[in-house]
Amino acid sequence: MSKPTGLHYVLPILAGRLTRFATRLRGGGSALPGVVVQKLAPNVMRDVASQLPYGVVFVLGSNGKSTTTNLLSAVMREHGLKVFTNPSGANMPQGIASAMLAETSLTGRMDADIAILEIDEGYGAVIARQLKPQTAVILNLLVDQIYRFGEPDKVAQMFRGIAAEIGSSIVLNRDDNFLSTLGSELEAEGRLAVEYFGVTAEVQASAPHGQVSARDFSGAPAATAVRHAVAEVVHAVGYDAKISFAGTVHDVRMPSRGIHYAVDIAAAFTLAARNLGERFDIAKAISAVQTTKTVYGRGEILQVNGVEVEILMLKNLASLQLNLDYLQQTPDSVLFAYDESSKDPSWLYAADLSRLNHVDVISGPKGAFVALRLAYEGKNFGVIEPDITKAVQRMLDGPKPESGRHTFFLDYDQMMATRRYLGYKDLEAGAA
Amino acid sequence: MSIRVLELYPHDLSLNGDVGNRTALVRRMRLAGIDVEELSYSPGEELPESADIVLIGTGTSSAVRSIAADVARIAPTLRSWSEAGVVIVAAGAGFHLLSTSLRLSATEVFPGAGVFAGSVDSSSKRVITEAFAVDSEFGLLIGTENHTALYTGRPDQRALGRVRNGFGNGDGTEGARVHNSIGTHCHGPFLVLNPVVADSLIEAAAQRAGIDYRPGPQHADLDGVVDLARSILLAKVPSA
Repeated sequence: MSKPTGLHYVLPILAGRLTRFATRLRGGGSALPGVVVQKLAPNVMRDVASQLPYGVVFVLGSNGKSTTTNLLSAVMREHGLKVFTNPSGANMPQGIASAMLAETSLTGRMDADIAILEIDEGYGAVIARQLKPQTAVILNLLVDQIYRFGEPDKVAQMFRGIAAEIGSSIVLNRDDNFLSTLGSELEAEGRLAVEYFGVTAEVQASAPHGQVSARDFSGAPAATAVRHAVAEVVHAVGYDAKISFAGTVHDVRMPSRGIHYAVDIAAAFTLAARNLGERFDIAKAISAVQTTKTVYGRGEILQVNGVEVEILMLKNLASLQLNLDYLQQTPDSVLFAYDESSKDPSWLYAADLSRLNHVDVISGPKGAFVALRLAYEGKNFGVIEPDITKAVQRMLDGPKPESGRHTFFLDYDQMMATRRYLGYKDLEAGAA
Repeated sequence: MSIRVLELYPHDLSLNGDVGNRTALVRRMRLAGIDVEELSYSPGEELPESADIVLIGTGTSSAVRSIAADVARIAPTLRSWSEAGVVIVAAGAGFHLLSTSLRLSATEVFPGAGVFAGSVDSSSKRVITEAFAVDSEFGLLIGTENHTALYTGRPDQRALGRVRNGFGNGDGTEGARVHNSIGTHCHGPFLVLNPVVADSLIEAAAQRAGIDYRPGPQHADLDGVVDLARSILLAKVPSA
C-alpha cells in the first residue's frame, strides 16, 4: 500500500471537528470528537505523531504528571521547540485523540516539533502502541486509586507493559521503590537507555514523610550501588531548591513548594537533556521552570478581593501528605473539600494531620468523612457546607486571615468548581 | 491500670488506612479517661507478654507473601490470646492471614494463624462495594469493601453478619466472630464508621482488665459526626 496522502484525513478530521463543535455547544466533554476520528481513521494519530521531529514523550506516574508535563513543555519551548501537549487531566485515549485533533490540519499535519503527553497508567500501553513514543518519564509509584487498580503491584505491571512499547529511552525516579526495580529489569534487558533523576539521601531523610512512595514487597533485589542521577535534588526547602546537574549545583526558585515539586523539576531536566542532547542548556531550563505558572489547582495561588487563596489538590494520601508537609506555617484559614473520587475514605486515617490545627469549612459530597477524621483526632472544625460554592463564599465572607491567605485542600472536581466560582474560567476555554 | 493496644505489621499492612481502627478505639478509651498504651509489632520482633486489643489491617498480596512465614511463627500466641478473650480486630488481608489457610493464586497456599476457622481463596475477581452494608448483632454495619477473596467458614463458626449490600465472604455472610475476635472485609475504616462495635470491644477488653468503660457526652458528639458520614454511605445502599 502506498503511503497515505494528506487528503486521506480530510473526512475523518472534519467529522471530528464537527463533533467537537457540537459537543462544545452542548457544553459537554472533550472526548467524543476523539472517538469519531478514531472510528473513521484509526491510524490518524500514529501518522500525525510520526511526523514530529522530536517525537512523542510520555509523562507517567501516580502523582505529578500534569506538573511535570507543564514544566517539561516550558523547558522545551525555551529551547525554541514548538510543543504539543494534552490539557491537564485529559490523559486517556479519547481525551488525547481529541486534543491532538484540535491541533491537526485537515491534511493530517500538526504544527509542532514534539508532543509531550501526560498518560494515564491504565491506558498507557494502548496509547503507546498507537503513538509509538520514543521516550518516557515515570515519576513515582504511590498507593493510588486502590478501588481501581487493587494494589500498587498492578500499576508496576502496567508500567512494565508501557516500557515495553517505548522506542529508545526511559527516565525513572531512582529513589522510588518500584521504579528502582523496574530500572534494574530494563537495564538487564538492555533495549532502552535508562536514566535516573533523584534526591540525595539527606534531602529524602529531611522530608517528614519522604516521597510517600509505595513499598515493594516483591523481594526483588534493590539496586546494589547508588545509581547516578542526571539531575539530583540536593536541597528543597519552601520554594527554594538546589539541583545538581552535570557536576554543578544550580539554584532554582520553584513555582510551588516541596520535595515532590523539586523531584518533578529534576525529572523534567533529565528528560529534556536526554531529548535535546547537545542543544540542552541548563540555564534555559532553569529560566523556563522559574517563569512557569503552576498548573491550575496544584499549589496555585489565586488573588480574590485582595486576599490570596492557595489551592492544594489532593487525590490520594501522598498528595495530601506532601502538601501538608510543605506548608510554610500552620494555615490560619482552611477549607477542606472531599468528593466522590475516593471510594474508600480509609486513607484519610493514614495521613499525619499534625500540620493542621483546625479546619474552618468542610465541603464536598463526602465532606463528613473529613469532619469525622478531624473529630477522631480531636481537632476542631467550623461548619460542614456540602455545596462547594457556598463553602467558598463562606470562607471569603469570614474574617480576613492574619496570614493574608486562605488555604484550600480540594479534590479534583471541587477544585474545578472552586476556580470557576472564583471567576477563573480559563479552563473552559482551554486547549481541548 | 491501662489498656494495651497492639497493632500487627503496621508498616507492611498499610494499604488503605485501617490504622483508623486503632485511632477509633484509642480515642474512645481516652475520652472515657482510660489509660492506653499503644504498641506495634513488625516481622522478626518479639511479641509483648500480653495485649488487651490486637489489630491487623490490609495489605497487598506481595506484602502478605512477605510476612506469611512470620505470621506462622506468632500464630500459637495469637490463637491462645484469642481463646483467652483478647480482643482481635482483623480487616481485609489481616483477616485472611488470621484464618486457617490463604490461597493467593492457583499454586500458592499459605497457612494462616488459625484464629478464625475458615479458609480464604484470595485469587478470585476483585469486588469493590462503596456502600458495603451488613446486618449484624451490632445492628447495621456500614463501610467499604475492596478485595478478591472468598471466605469459607467452618459451619460451627459465627459470621459477623449477613450481607445486605455487597459481596462479603461470598456466600451471603460477612466476616467471622469467635470469642472477642472479629474478622471483616469492611474498611472505611470499620470501627471508625461502626462505633457500636468499637464500644462493645472496648467493653470486653476493659472488663477483662477490670476497668470500667463509660462513654460520655464527648462520645455522643463524636457519634453525631459518625452519623453524618454513615448517612452518606447508607444513602447509597439500594433499598430492598
